[in-house]
Amino acid sequence: MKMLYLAQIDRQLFAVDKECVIGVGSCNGGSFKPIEEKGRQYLPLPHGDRAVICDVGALMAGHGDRAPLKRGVHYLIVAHDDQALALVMTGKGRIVAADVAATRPLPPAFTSRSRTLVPGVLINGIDMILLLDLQTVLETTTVRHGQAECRVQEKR
Amino acid sequence: MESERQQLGLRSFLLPLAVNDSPGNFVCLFTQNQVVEILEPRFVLHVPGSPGYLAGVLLYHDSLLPVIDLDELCNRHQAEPRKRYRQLVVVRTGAADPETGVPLKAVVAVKAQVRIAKISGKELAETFERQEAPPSLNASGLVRGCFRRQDDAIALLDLGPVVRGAYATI
Repeated sequence: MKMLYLAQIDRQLFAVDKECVIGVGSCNGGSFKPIEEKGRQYLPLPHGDRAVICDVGALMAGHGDRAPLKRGVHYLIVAHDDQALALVMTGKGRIVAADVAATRPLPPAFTSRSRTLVPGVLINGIDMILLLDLQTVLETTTVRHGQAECRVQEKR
Repeated sequence: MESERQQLGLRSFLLPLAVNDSPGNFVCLFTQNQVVEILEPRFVLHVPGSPGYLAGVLLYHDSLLPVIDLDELCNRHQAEPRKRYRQLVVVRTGAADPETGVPLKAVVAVKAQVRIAKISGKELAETFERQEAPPSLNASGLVRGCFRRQDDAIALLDLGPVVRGAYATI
């Protein structure tokens, strides 16, 4: 059994290793402004630290209806290598114990990016929980911001 | 016996297909042997970072099956307005898992009601005219055959490369 942190992102459940979790941040709109630097967005943390904002939900934007980010967004702040990531989530999430040995891989149809991003699926009754690979989350978010920046520069 | 069955015509499942560069009604045909079950719409788990033609995964009898959006698959380079899925069709693809050798099933998500008809191989050959698939459909590289009778067109697709994970390289 392993302790996982369960986060809801766009009506779906995602899990990361609880040991990576630094904390949960809330943003109630108003004065909060993420720091933008080189096409990346950062969430300011206490003591002058900051976390890269990673919107996993944006990677699912092509699928179905996706509610736009509204006030009251929560961030799951996790440590990965020497960096902090802030995963955008709905609600505050919770800690659960799970038998990770029962994790299943995605069907072979899912290749490359989706397969590395989601190395396994936990099945709990009728619920399915996607495990997230933090390195791929970070890389994917970086690529997306990089592409957006390129597009802006081309327009100019 | 086999020819007798062909004469009578096996039940075929016709899944409406939106092919942008083809006029008239377009359907994708799956045989009775291919279709396992037709499910009512239910929650499909989206997988971040997956291509648009993979709508997600579905838990079906303790197996995780990929959910394929046929319209996205056949119009990959054209923006397709998204609609809610009306039915989910569980199909045998005839392909096997490259690692385990287990036969692979898939779920095909359709946005309009599936029609059931009895079309024999003979009828398909005699009353339908074999034709070149429309460019958008042909570009998918999955077409095994395309037949037309007046305004109705039928496509036979091979979903094997998609479920094996070999489609991205086509």
